[in-house]
This record gives sequence, C-alpha cells and structure tokens, in this order.
Amino acid sequence: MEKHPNKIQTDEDLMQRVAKGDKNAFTTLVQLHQKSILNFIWRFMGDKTQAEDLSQEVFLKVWQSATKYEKRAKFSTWMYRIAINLCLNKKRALKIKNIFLAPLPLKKQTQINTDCTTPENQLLKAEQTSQIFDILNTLPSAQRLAVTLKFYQGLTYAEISKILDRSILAVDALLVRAKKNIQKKIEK
Amino acid sequence: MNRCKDIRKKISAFQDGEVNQAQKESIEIHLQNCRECKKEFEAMMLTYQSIDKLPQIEHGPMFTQQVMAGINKTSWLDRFLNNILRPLPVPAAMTAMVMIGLLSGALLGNLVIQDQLNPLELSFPWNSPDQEIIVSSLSLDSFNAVPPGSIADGFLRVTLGSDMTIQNHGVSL
Repeated sequence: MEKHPNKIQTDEDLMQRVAKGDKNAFTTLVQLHQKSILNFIWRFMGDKTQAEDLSQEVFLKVWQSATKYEKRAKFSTWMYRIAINLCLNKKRALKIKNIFLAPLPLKKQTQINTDCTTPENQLLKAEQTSQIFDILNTLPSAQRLAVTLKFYQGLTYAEISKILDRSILAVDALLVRAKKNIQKKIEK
Repeated sequence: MNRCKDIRKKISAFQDGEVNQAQKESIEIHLQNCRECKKEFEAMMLTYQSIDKLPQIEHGPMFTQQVMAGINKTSWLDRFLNNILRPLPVPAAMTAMVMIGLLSGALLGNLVIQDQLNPLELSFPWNSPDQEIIVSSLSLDSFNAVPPGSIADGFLRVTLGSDMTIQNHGVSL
C-alpha cells in the first residue's frame, strides 16, 4: 500500500472514498497517477494523441468502476489492468480498421516535451524516440507490455505477474524473449 | 557447461534485479570467470540501453479538469448500469438470451396456430365422450413429422399459406 509523502491516506483509502462518490478524492488520485499512466500508455501504444485520449478513458473507467474495486488489491495494479484492457481494445479496433481502410502512415514522435532547447537537439531527440518505437513495435503485445512495465515503469516481476495475470516464471520468460527479439532488431 | 546453462537461465532476472542475494553473488563471480556468459550478459545489457532514451511526456495543464468534466457527464444511471449489469457472467447472460428466445418462439408459435386445438383448453375425456376421440388423436400426433400446434406446423402454415390443408394431421397440397 503506497503512501504519498504529503498525504496521510493511501491510494486504497482514496479509492474507498471514490467508491462513495467523493470527487475530491478522485481529483487527488488523478493528479497522483496521470503522468505515470500517460507515459505507460504512450510507451505501449507509441502515439501521444492516443495516449492522452486513453489515459482520460482510464480515469473515467476508474470512476465508473470504483465500487467494484476491492481494497485488498493494490490500486496501481488495478489501474494498470484497466489501462491494458483499454489499450488492447484500441489496438484491436485499429487492426480491424486497417483491414478495411488503407493504413495511415506512422506518425513520427516529434511532439515530445523534452528539455532540449535547440532545434537540432529536439530533432535528434525525436529521431532517437522514433528509433526506440521502431524497436518496440517489433515486439508482440505481451512482450511489449512486460518490457514497458519492467523497464519504464520499474515494477517488480511479482507486480507484473499480478497485472498480466501470469506466473512470475511466465513473466521472466516473456522478458527473456523480448530481450532476444530486441537483440535481433539491433543486430539488423 | 551445466553451470553456464544455469547461469544463462537466470541472467535476465539478474539484470532486472530479480534474484536473491546468494544467486546474485554466485552469478557475479561466474561472470568474472566465464567469458562466454559475460558476453551474453553484455549483449543483454545492450537491449535496455537501446530503448533507454525515451523521454517522459506530460499532459496539458487542463487534464484534471477535462477528466472531472467527463465524470460530471457520467450520470448516476451509467454508474449503476456499469456496476450492476456488466458483472453478469457470460453463462447467465447466455441463459437469459436462450430463455427469451424460447419464450418468444413459443409465443409466436401460439399466435400463428391459435386456430388449432389448444390442449390446455381441452376438457377431460370423462366430461364429454366426443373429447375422448380428440385427445387420443392428439396423442397419436406425437408420431407425426409435423404435429399440429408445433412450431414446424406454424412455419409450414405461414410459408405455404392458405393453399395448404391439413388432413388427418398430415400435410397435403
């Protein structure tokens, strides 16, 4: 149960208040988790606009489903599961759309907020970001999720196993395969 | 060689800091002495380095307000439907659909063939000698391919229309 430095209440306590319809508690939760959920979705989906829309949907879903939340479960685990379901649904919808419509050209990740001040540095950073997404795009969804949760979100195998509903050994195996695939991509 | 095999199985977890202290020390010592395993470990380190430089992005300053505006649009009815109806397990929902299908089918069948004899309206044979014949005739209909009063009978009546006559519970055109 994660406690926030300037908050007496944990996420789980806040969620109990949200379940009773407390909008102030919900605002606090949104402010605490918006950045991590946005970055998680962006790294998984690879598109900033989609990440912004989906992160908004995640919080709406949290509000709508608050009464179903059980305090025994860690809030962040529950929230990541909501985010993953929404992302996978979106990916499926995009896949179906691409079958019927000509796929749109991939957007380059240029709209990123970086601390690089000069245009040259910004361009370099955008190119670097684009290369990373090229690598991540080669991974199947499960492997990409595992890499995102481990490497970018810094979660443990145990936490990832709860989020993905797999055993710790299965998470280990997913990450091994993901790393092998990344190696192959780098060697090309 | 078996030692190398064991180490390589754990090398990814070691990189992710997911091994216990004893395993960590054992792997570190092995990597100092085994060139092949060290090479494998360094190659694995490159994977994370290659995806390391992804920056953090941030929402616009109005994000929280946008979310709050979204939840204000969500009525209590949406919340109720989401919490009460959505958790219905799939088998329960499928059973409900089948029940509704059967009931509406039976109702439709009764509407289509309402001019046929309705067994529920029959009086018992001991009430009237004429009814005995009808009841025994109906019991024989269970061997008929298209028994009167069945959905198949109703379907035939609808599709073949008034040209069809039913004689002795058999179909003739």
